[in-house]
Amino acid sequence: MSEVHKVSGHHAAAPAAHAAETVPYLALRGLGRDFGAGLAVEDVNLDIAKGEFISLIGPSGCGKTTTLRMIAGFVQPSAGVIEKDGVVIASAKRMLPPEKRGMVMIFQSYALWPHKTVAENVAFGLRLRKVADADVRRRVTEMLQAVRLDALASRYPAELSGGQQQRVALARAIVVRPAVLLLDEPLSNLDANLREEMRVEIRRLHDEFKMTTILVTHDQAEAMATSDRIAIMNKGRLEQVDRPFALYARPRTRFIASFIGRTNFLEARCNGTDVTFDGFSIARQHFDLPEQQFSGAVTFSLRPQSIGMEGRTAVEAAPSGGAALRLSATVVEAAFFGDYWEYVVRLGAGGQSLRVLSRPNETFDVGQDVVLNVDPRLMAPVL
Amino acid sequence: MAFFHVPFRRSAPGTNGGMGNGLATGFLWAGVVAALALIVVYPTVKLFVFSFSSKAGPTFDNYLHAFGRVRYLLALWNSLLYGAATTVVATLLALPLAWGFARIRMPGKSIIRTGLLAAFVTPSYLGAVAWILLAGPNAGWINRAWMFLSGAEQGPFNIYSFSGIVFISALYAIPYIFIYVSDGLGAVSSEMEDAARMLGAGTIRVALTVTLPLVAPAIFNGCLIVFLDTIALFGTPAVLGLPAHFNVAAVQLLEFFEYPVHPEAAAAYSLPLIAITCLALWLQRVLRGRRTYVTVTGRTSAHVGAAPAVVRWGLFAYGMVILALAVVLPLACLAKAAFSVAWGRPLSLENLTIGNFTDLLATNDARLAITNSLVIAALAATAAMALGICAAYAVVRRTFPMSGALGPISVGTLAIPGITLGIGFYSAFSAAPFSLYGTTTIIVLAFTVRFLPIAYGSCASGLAAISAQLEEAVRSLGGSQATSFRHVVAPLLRKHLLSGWVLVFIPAIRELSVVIFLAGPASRTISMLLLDYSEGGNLELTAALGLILLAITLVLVVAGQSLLGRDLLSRS
Repeated sequence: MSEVHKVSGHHAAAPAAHAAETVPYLALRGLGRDFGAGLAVEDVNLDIAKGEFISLIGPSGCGKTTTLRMIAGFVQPSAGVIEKDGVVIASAKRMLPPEKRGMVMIFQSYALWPHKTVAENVAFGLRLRKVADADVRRRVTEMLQAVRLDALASRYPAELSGGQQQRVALARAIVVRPAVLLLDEPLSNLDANLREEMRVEIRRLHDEFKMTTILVTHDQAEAMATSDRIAIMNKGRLEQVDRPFALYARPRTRFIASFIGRTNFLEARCNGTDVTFDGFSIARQHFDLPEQQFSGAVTFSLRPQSIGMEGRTAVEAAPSGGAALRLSATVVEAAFFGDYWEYVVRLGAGGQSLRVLSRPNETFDVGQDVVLNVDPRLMAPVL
Repeated sequence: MAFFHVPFRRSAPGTNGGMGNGLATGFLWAGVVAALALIVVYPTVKLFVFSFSSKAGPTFDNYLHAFGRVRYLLALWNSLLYGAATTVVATLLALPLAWGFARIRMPGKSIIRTGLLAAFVTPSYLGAVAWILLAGPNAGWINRAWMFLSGAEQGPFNIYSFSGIVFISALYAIPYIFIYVSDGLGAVSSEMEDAARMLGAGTIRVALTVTLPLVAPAIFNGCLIVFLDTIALFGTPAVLGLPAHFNVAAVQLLEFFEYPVHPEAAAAYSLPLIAITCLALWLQRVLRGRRTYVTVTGRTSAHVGAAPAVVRWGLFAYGMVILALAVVLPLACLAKAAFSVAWGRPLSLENLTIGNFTDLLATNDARLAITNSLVIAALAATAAMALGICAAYAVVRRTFPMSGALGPISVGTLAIPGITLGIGFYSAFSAAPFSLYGTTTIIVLAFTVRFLPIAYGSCASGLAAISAQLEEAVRSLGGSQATSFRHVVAPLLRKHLLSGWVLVFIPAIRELSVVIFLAGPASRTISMLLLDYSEGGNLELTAALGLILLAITLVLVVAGQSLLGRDLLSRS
């Protein structure tokens, strides 16, 4: 669970998976929403554990924001239920108003009240909870210190930079110690550097205050770096929910494989013993295939970063070993991006093109013959 | 002028912030719906029913009576003629000003703008009274000056004529066209004009071939407003038309209330005016539907260009002439008459007096009328804004199922001319159980409905500018909808509410066409008294009372513009 993460961004292999196995704190069951022009959200099922940090991601229009707004209580589901702690808080029949859900939302526009100062914005939720004046002042001050804005307490929102406004929005939400924190694309209005800083900040505040956090974003890096688990939505449906690294390494569908990072797709035919690609074939046992029977046409996803590349002469000197597959290819395009090379190579004569990412010192020329090293275990079958 | 710009924008489709409202807010919405039903829907429906009613039961006789005489039909025809002529003249007069204002580095822009605002807030019937002093057949100042200079026996102008009536009405309609067209021009990217200029077109050619077609929809909207306003105008045709034997529908309607009283026929007679209005609004929709491209796209910048000095100064001189005709000369004449013993005598110390004002204020009539006007306008502005903000909030935030219907209901009375609305209220609230005829209450209610579109538009545009997320943030922190309204919406809307109030108060304090059908001896207003005085030929008292009305308006306009920082001559 979340306490495992001392530092954000370090949970590639962290055991957050069992979070979903405990009794869910929030549960979406068969959730759907029809806006009249087709289903915006359809049959979404998701269990979220207490204290978990989960991201909803997907291309624009995939239904992630609608799902979040249904959880928050601003949109009523037209099908399915949302439960919190085993109690139904939203269904097509029943609707607990947002203010009664114990959740706080942070909006894409930050929604800071322009007629209230920073301190007044942050104090508002506490005043609604009838916290005593002295406590309000103390908690606002502490909170503003936590987001490093104590010097700007008496400013108005219009007098702050985008990053500062974002931190006020965070402070305003977190100061009331919500059980659930909902974030709707909170970083999309910030520039790249600030986004990185705020991403760390959000994860830090999550770890400090142990809130169950749901983040909606279209930025997969943001989701990868902050979340325990990521739920990927496409066309109103949930396509896969998994830990960030699992999504990257074992995408279930073509959509996920290309949405999370970049990838190459290779078509193959599968029989009992071999997997046959265009021009080469590999024994089935070398693959890390799931239990179920794969046969007939199968598509594999192979990340450009998972392909090793060597000059042909070097290869002839060193014999191949293990299950690694060695394929000859020709460099067709080369582009240098500063911290990596991006090559497009063509397999064999007139075969398939693949994208390969290499370290800066691995230079090859266009037209050069190369050998690709591919570990079949890194090839993920996708639907 | 936020009048007719009524955004029907809503929050994201299907969002529903209204769930789980308390009982109190439930009662509030029920109250708003009931109020709109009672004072908007009911009088409209009742007007139809009333037009078919008689003591003996349902009948068509009222229609036979109303349309059975050539004189009556002629009055309707005259109204159309009057409306069309006024619209054409006002548009031709206003276009060069609007163009010069928005597109040319014309000198004296602030003077012209201020002058047009003054013309805008001057009731046209007061302008008509002033122009009697200026261009009355024999005694008018201009005619006398002409006779003196040329030695002619007769002056060239007769304000008691069709052209006189059209001229006055057009003069005071210029600001409407100006507002629409200069706003429209502001929304047209000047890059489109620059593109034509790069291809070698000159200033005038660009104006005619590029600019004019692009702002055509804005011109049309302005024309529509002027036309609809003119056919329902009562004051100017009443002041000038009777001596000219020029009868229009608005004046004819009042005749049905003279002995023998025949209000059912008046109801029947007023329905074609609604039909004309609906037809015009439908036409607007059809035309707009085919050319939505126009002014909205490609708004990058609308910069002001250079033009030959002849054009710039020519336009400036033209603007000054318009202001002289609409504001300076009439005002000077009114002031002279108001402070004169006899308005026709020359300016001299013996002729100077403040007696008109003291006489006026000594009469119960005038004191009552001034009090009534102030109270009625204030109450109506308050009620209209209260209803307007509730309806706009319900529409923009979809607070209850079908709440969107409140928008069309609130602005729907635009299609009902003032005189027709007056008769609708007469038919709905005169009889028991209301028995409100002749009370200030019925006038306040009628004004509330008449100006609800302004109030609603002002509130809706203000609300649309407040992101729904600002309120959702309150909800998400545990505040109810009422809390969010009180702590976020109300403070942010304060300026909009106050300026909307002023925008209702200004036309309400001078309103004549509604009040003429509803007022009784105890509920007469400044506007009615002005009409009485001018018909009675007491032009000194008329002028004095007119100046008082203008002074009240001026105070409010200045307060509205300076305190609220909002330009009353702008639609946004």
